[in-house]
Amino acid sequence: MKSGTGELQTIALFGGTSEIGLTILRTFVGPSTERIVLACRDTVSGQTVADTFAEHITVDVIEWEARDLAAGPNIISMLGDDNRDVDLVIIAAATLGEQSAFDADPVLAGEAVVINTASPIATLSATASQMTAQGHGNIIVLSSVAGVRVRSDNRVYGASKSGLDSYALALANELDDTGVEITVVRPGFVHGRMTDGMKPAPFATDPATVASATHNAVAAGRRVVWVPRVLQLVFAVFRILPNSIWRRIRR
Amino acid sequence: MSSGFTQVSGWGQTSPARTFLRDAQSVKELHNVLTSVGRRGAIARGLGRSYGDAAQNSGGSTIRFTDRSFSFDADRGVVTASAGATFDDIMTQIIPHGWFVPVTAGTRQITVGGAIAADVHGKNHHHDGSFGNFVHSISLLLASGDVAELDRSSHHDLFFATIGGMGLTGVILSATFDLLQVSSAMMSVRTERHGDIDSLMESMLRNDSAFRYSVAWVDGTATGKHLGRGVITHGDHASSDEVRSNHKRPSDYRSPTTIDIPPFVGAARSVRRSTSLLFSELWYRKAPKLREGQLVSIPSFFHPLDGVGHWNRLYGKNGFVQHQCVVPLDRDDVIRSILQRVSSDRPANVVNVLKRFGEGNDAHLSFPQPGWTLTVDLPVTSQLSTTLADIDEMVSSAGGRHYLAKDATTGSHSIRGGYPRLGEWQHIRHRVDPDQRWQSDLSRRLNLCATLKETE
Ligand SMILES: Cc1cc2nc3c(=O)[nH]c(=O)nc-3n(C[C@H](O)[C@H](O)[C@H](O)COP(=O)(O)OP(=O)(O)OC[C@H]3O[C@@H](n4cnc5c(N)ncnc54)[C@H](O)[C@@H]3O)c2cc1C
Repeated sequence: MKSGTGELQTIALFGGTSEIGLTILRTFVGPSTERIVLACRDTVSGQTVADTFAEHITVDVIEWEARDLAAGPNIISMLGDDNRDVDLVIIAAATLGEQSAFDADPVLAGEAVVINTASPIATLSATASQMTAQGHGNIIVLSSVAGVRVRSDNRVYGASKSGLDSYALALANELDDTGVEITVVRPGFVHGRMTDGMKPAPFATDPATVASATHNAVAAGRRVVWVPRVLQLVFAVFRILPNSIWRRIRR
Repeated sequence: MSSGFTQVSGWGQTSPARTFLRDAQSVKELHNVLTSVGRRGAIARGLGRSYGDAAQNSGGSTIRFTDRSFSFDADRGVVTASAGATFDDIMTQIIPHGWFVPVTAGTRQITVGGAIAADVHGKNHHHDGSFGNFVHSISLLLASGDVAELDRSSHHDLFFATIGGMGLTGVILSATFDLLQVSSAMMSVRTERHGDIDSLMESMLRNDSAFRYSVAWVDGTATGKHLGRGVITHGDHASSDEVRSNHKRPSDYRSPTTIDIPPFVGAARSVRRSTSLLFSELWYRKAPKLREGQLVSIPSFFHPLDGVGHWNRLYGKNGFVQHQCVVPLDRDDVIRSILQRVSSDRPANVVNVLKRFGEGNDAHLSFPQPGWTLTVDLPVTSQLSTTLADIDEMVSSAGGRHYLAKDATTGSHSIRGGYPRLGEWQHIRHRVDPDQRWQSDLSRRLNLCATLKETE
């Protein structure tokens, strides 16, 4: 349950070692937080992360494979079993991949879409019904500006985020008036582990900035958050560029 | 997806719940409501004067038992009331006959069900104990749909689990309780002003046993050598001799009228720091250094806040937390530390109440235990959760506890530490509600109804 000062008691993160996901999560941790669930593939790293939280918090590190579509919903239903509510679910797991690798191995391309789209949709769907029954809850979905208009040199990742982004927004409409709120986060290039060694795109940002912008958006009840903000303008232009120009845009 | 849900909150207006709010006027209607209660369960609600999330149930049902009837034996001084009967109605009826409720909270706008479920205490706790002490019997609707008649000899464990049980053992249908005989509708009051907390506490310890009622208002804005300055009021029901010159007989009692704060006020403005400084200064200055034998009316002695309806809206849309704890008598240092913590945050704080509690009772979750109880009103701000976490730590490590009827923020481990009989209570509860039909936001937040394996 939320406390009277709006603090969250139970928070679950899918992609339990995700740098952005964790940075966002930490902005919501306060004296009233009692339980954190880290769903991750690599439970050894997950445990290292778990040890960084204050002692009064129970951190459950749960092994979770995004390609197993039943795994996310199972964790959500397990969380609902003990009569204590889930206040916030952050869906952050994703794979970026190299377009050239996807071209070389079509199965890999398909798998990326399972991880970036199918799996989050399954988890979102389970979370939405559970939170609707609770009568309250917040969900944060990590999307990307790459999904707003998909570039050809990034088409697998971009298309997979585009699918997730539109599903999340449509679900948010469906959840109107249920007490459940969804915030979709659209960062640009984020310096960090996932992009290590890559040449930064213009308007690059960092996990801390994404996290504080997300926190503020959730507090204000905003559905979509662009980080940095200027990308909303940039993409307003990109969206209306004629395809003859857009198709030549590379990062 | 959302049909039939209403938003409700406690008196502090924090964490509102979307809940299926249902009224039942009779036991038959209650049974009907119960048949449609789902996995999120149900909780009873009285007049919603608890401050936090005790009388609400997000995603589930919140049931108001609206039968307000009661009967009154004017010879023996005994009332048998439906759980929905209000203290306001009861007092209006009984005072003219020379009787008074044995315990009254700081507001008349509470129900008999709410008074039992929170085992409310008043300014006479050091003298008489809490409301549960005066209750003979309770009629309780169980999760099974059966009605149990509870008293000190039959089902005594469930009787005591229900007093202070925050609605989590079932829906109280009615109860019988004793009244206190009085010979006037006036209070004889002694007022003392003290320049600091030490002198205030010392005087309270020395003098409160000579009075039935005793309480202190403490200035939460005062710091340094004025820390905890305040005003003690002691009182007794005035004798007929004392009021003769005044012509106030019990039969002169009327339930007073109120003015109301409209909803838009909270949205527009809230209590400011400057207002609270001004209020506190005036309140302190207006009190005499010492005044004895002053006659005041029952409402102005017991329920000054009832004169303004919905005064809670003055705190603005984020609401406020009313924090109430009790610490052992020899830990008066904790009271000082809390006041220091509160005044250093410089909040817009006006209502702080200090009192000495007497003996507790046999109810497992009854709040009062011997010691100092301090109540502070704190508007919700971004720093509040840290302040409260610090205060809770002080309270817990001193062996103190928090009042569930006011709580909105405490962690479950503080509650477990503060209420050593919680496990025993959970066993009794589990016996009568194995399927967790009774649930509230409070019970979920504090894990009060933990399945037994978790607590063993
Ligand atoms: C201005 C003010 C001053 C106050 N002063 C004091 C004080 O001096 N001392 C004190 O002890 N308290 C005080 N309180 C708190 C108040 O007395 C308690 O919270 C009381 O329980 C409120 O009664 P209610 O009818 O509004 O119940 P609610 O707030 O609606 O419910 C309180 C609890 O009682 C349960 N409940 C209600 N009806 C039933 C029922 N029929 N069957 C089973 N459970 C039920 C609910 O589930 C909930 O857990 C004060 C509150 C205010 C607003």
